[in-house]
Amino acid sequence: MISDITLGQFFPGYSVLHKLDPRTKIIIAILSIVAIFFANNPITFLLITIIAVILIWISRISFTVVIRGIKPILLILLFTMILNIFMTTGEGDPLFEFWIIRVYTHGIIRAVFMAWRVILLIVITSMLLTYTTSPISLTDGLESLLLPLKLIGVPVHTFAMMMSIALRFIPTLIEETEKIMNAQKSRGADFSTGSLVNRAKALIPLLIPLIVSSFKRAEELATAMECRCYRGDKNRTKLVKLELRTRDYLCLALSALLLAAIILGAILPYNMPINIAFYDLLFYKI
Amino acid sequence: MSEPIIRTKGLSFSYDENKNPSFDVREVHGVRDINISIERGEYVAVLGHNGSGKSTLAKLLNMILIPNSGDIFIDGVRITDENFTEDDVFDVRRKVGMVFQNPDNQLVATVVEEDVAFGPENLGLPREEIRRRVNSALAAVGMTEYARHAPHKLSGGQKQRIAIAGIIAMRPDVIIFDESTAMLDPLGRRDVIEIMERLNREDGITVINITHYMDEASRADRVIIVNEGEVAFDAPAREAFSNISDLHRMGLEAPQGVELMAALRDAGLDVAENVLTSEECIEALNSFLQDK
Repeated sequence: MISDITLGQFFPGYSVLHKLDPRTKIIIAILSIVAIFFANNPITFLLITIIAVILIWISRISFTVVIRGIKPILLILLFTMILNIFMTTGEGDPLFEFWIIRVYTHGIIRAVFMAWRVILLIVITSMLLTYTTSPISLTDGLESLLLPLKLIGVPVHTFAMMMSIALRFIPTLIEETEKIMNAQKSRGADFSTGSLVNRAKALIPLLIPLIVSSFKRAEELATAMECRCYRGDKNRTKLVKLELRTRDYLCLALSALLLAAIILGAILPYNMPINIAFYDLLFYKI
Repeated sequence: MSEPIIRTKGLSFSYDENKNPSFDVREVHGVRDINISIERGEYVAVLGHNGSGKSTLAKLLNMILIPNSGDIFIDGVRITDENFTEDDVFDVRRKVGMVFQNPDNQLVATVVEEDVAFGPENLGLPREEIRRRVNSALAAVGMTEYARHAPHKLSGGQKQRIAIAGIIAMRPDVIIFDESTAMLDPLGRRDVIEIMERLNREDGITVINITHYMDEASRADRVIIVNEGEVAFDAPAREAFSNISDLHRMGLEAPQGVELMAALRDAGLDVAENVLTSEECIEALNSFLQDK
């Protein structure tokens, strides 16, 4: 039932993508986002699309899974497209005109690419982060990357610890929710019928015990952690240390190169016209 | 005789009702004038009905709670010293490990071995040493094959074994089990008891088992009975259960065998008196029936 919900949709595996250091993947994800927002013509979009396909291919995660991951954002995609179609004014005559609505060819092209941009964004970041990185190593990676912020007084370790405890207790709380739900159902509580207001009200006898027990858990956990000599990151060592290997450096270098290429491909054509075939098609400014 | 590992003198503590957060619905009871002394390597059971103060006593011993009056000495060090620093508290907790009742609320990490490593990590040990300790602690509780599992997928008994491994990995002198078997099924309970007895026998760790299971208490070398915040009884296990009416008065029961023999004697049968465990009870009944 609800315990089937997997958090962040992590798919365990042994691909290169899985093995990369989480920090490498976070950095590459940020570079990718920059690249995706720089992309403004078919050639750069094509390049990023090829990268996305290669990522999916080496992660050994099936295309169906990736497509399923896009489903939840279909509405946003649709909205983006409609906005772009109707708000873009292009050169020349509109494709068709109706009342105050004017649709240009440019608008349609733009809408398609905007949607494609969102899809690339989702696919690449989820390939790098959620699908191939366990939540806990993601937390470790974030902690390590944000460590410099400690200098200006940001409690990085505390945040990372909070994150990992939250992750640790999600399955426990789901289990507890089921238990309480069953207990209330056995006493005649009804969670699934009635008006929205009634159903929301029915959740109160579920939420109150859950919150109370969470407080109790928190207190007990804090005591147990104190008993195990926890005192923040003071003089603390780690069993698993993140280590950047050759493959991490290679991937980082490759990503930096690709980013440079994409930025060049996005900026260059408009500053110095190059004489190549299909120029108008490849460098059509979106 | 060397200095006892734990010694208390006139130890008293009471919960301030006003300071207690209102969400804490447990009944809380303090302790009064506790004088006990526990030697290195002892196996002690602490008995008492709910709210008798036995868990409070445990929490005082590793400075989760600070007493209102009286002194506690751990390994000869007076931990009730006002000038105690954070580092001193750290040392006390390193020496006195504690395993709690609910295994779920003690596990910190999402991977078993990382949870076991939590204590050693806090101690600031080098990575190789942490690795060694994690491996040997997991082996000691028989959970090596689960090292990379997620704790929430294990059974209650297995989770509790992980929690124990997390304490063992810190190499404490004393481990206090605060009703650690109360939420487990019989199999899980047996595992935990076996582990605590092996730790005591083979590794010389002082074990304090706080429990309300009589059969568990009867296995210890020594039984301390806490009643209404005071030590009502402190003697070897065999003596502790000899006075059944006292036990009943304190809301406790003797182990089944002892209760049965007492009931038989009350009924006028001449059965052996000096019975503690179920095995001894069976033997006594056998010999009684053969004499007939």
